[in-house]
Amino acid sequence: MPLHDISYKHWHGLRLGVWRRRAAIAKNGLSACLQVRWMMNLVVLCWGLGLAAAAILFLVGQLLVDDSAVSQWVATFVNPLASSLAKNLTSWLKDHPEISVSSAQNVLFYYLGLWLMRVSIFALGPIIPLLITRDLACNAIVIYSSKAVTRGDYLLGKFATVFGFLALTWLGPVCASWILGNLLAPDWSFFWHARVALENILIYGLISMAVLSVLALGVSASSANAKSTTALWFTWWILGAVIEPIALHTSPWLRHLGFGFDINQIALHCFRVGENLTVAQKEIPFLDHIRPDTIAALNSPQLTGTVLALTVMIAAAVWIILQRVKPE
Amino acid sequence: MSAQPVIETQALSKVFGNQKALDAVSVAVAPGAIGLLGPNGAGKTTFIKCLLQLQPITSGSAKLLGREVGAEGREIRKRVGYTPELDCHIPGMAGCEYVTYCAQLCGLPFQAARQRAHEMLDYVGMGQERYRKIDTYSTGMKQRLKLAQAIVHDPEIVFLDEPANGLDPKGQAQILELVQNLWRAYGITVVLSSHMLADVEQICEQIIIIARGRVLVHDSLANLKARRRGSAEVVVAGRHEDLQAACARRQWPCELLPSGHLKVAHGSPSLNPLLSLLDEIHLAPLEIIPSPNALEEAFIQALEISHAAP
Amino acid sequence: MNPVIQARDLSRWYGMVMGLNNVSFDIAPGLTGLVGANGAGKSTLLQIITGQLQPSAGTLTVFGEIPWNNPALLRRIGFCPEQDAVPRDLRPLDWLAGLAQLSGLDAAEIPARCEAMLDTVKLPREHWSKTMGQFSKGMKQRVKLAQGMLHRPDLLVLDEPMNGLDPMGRQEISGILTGLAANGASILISSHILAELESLCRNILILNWGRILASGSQKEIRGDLKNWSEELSIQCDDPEKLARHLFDAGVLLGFDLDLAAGLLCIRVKDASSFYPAWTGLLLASGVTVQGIRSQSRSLQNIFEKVTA
Repeated sequence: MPLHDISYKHWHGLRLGVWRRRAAIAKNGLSACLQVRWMMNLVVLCWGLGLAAAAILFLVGQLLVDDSAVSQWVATFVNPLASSLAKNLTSWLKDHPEISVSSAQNVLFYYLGLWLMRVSIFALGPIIPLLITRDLACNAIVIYSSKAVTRGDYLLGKFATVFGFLALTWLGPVCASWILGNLLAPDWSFFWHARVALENILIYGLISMAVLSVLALGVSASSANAKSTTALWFTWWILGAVIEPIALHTSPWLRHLGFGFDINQIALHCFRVGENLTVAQKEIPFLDHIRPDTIAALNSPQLTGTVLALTVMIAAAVWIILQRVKPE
Repeated sequence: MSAQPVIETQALSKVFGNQKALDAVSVAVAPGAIGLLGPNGAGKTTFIKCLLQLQPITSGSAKLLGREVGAEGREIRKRVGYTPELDCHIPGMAGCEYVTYCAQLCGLPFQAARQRAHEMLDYVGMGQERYRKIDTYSTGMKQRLKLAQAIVHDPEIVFLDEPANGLDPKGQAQILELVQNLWRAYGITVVLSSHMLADVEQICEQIIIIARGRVLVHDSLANLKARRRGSAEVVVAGRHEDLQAACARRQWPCELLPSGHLKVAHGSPSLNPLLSLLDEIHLAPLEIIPSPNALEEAFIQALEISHAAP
Repeated sequence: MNPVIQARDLSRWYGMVMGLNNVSFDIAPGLTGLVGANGAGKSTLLQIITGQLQPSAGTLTVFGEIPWNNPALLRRIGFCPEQDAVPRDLRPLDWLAGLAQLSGLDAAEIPARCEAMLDTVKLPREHWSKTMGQFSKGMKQRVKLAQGMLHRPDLLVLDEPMNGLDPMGRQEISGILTGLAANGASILISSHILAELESLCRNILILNWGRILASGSQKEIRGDLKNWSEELSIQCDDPEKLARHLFDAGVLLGFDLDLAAGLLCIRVKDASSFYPAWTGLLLASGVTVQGIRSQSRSLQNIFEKVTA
């Protein structure tokens, strides 16, 4: 027909289920997070760090191979005495894969995870207002509530937003680093020996990402002012970091008030880096210079206090969220 | 054939502390264009919020589109649209992204959502502004956007709370025309909550008046007007006294209004007797409005009754 | 009579953005309505009148003086702004009392005056003890009006005074304003609700894109419009018959039939000769008339024709 009808049309197509709607909220949130200035740069930095860790793994792996280019380079350019010492060390390491591969990767990924977690927490600062704060300021909750989603769906979607963001800045780079590093290793057995490290990464990662997500949502819901919530996040983090060394000698329990400290304790408990270093110290003379109190600290995660503190913080965050995020 | 009611409530009550916002409201509303009127604080907004589950119901039950509101709230809202009175939008997005997102939240797949979003933005008359961030929009554009997001998922019923608020006269006329077409052309039930009685008269066929948490009037506009038939507002250019005298002679109550118009209760179903009176005294009417302010009078009368009741 | 407000070649620019562009007008005493689309320059004009802004060029005088930096003149002007500008943590009487003191009213009569104002705007007594953050939109509007009228100004400037009020509230406020005007105050109302202005104000000022399109009484403006033709719509049982009858009588310039709604819309050749014969024509046609409405008289129509 010559004239086309462009008036209002009814929709008779399918309507998707509730999980797709939750996914829509998460996706929307995540793309908003990535549009923040410098955020893509930070994400690239995280992946870069992961790549660097994989490179280190590759180099360490190459050291264990006799005729590899790396060991030849070491032999040529480093002091010949050190070179022969290294050769002895190398052969010893080949006989003890639980130290050379398992422990080494465990320690490496502990420190990689630690640093990436710091970058992630820093990156969360500008993200916090985009979660719930902005919605509170613009009364968006009313719009969400009038659509086919409940408050629970909304919060689930927002949780997935933060969790997904942390997966981009932490879990993704660390796991990719593990895979790449072991892929580039001289032997397939590296995957098997390094499984402990992967287990620890996943347990620590998933728990701490979940905890951080809830805390971030709680801070986000605490005010309708974007600057306040970002400031609260950074203040809490930095204050915790500042109190930690001071409170060690006065009231150690105070350290648990900073979520950074508690997340670290979880890492310590998962990775058991102290044990690795103690065992290694016995065998490798080079490692004597590590101070005993460092080893002692690494060996004693304050788990009870951590669990208690995090439970209280999570409960408080959930309470704040439920109070502030109301449909009307 | 009577259609199934779109809104059904049984003894619906909502209590805030010790204040009864809704007091055992029982209504059954057929599909159509419904005007929801009432003084401020009467419970209009609370009524809508209870139906949409923005507020929990204290007691009683409510059904929207034939389903229990408390049990199936989320699924009902797939077919319900709402434009709140206050300024609200989801921040940080362009207009078209926002409407697309709203469609997705009601279950439309992304491709269809995007397509319908643009169609709805065409319908509400938004041009290139749709690509700008919402934070830069003027009041008129925000109101159009609210309407677009309310109908993008093809709802069966739309709740509009003061949709023309803050708009200039041209904008008001445009929004009202869009709303009018929703029911008349496309069969979408419209519940219009507004203080502008003229707008409600133009658009709605059913009227519900709520005061002090109770439904005082639930009737069709035609019936309300019919009750007031027999009176007319006459606009003449000068010589009011002549008309008043002539009315007095025929014993027709005649009242001079502040606007300079005369309200005559001529008591007959058509204006012809009044016209012959005017012809007698050689006075030409500029306008004769039948059943003037029928809605306003029904409103005031209902309020008086509610104030008189304990 | 001396105009209350006089503007001569008034302009106000915000950098490149135009607020008002070379406007000149006189506002007579009494009730005047200010009409214009959003962005037309109404807020700018009101801010200049109430002394909050200085013009970029030209002059604006109120009662013969310039409002800027003129506390003596500002004491004669009351302003009720559009925004939600009431402090959330104060009670209405406290706020009014503070403002009254700022206006220099006698301390002894302040409490009585404030209570009288709240009674005049019909704010129910039970709300007087609550803080204004708890008020509904309508209640806040009434308090704002009270503060504008508090010092019995000679000129009251109102920006969207009926916003948020239900129909009864609007009637009450209209009554108050009419009463004030009758007592000699001049009132300038800026509003989008043309129906209200039409019945309230005799004089109208129409702004569009920072320029004045019309100023004067509704009748004068209507009379001045070119291509003005009387347009009427008649509701009857047989519009076609009526149309034929009127056409044969030779009074029509054009007409439109809406048979479904029973409406006949006509445009008349010559209003002055049409009206004297109007009732005779209607009765002679033999149709039953249900209503006669003017399509061209209302402020809405004037506004549309002026801004077209």
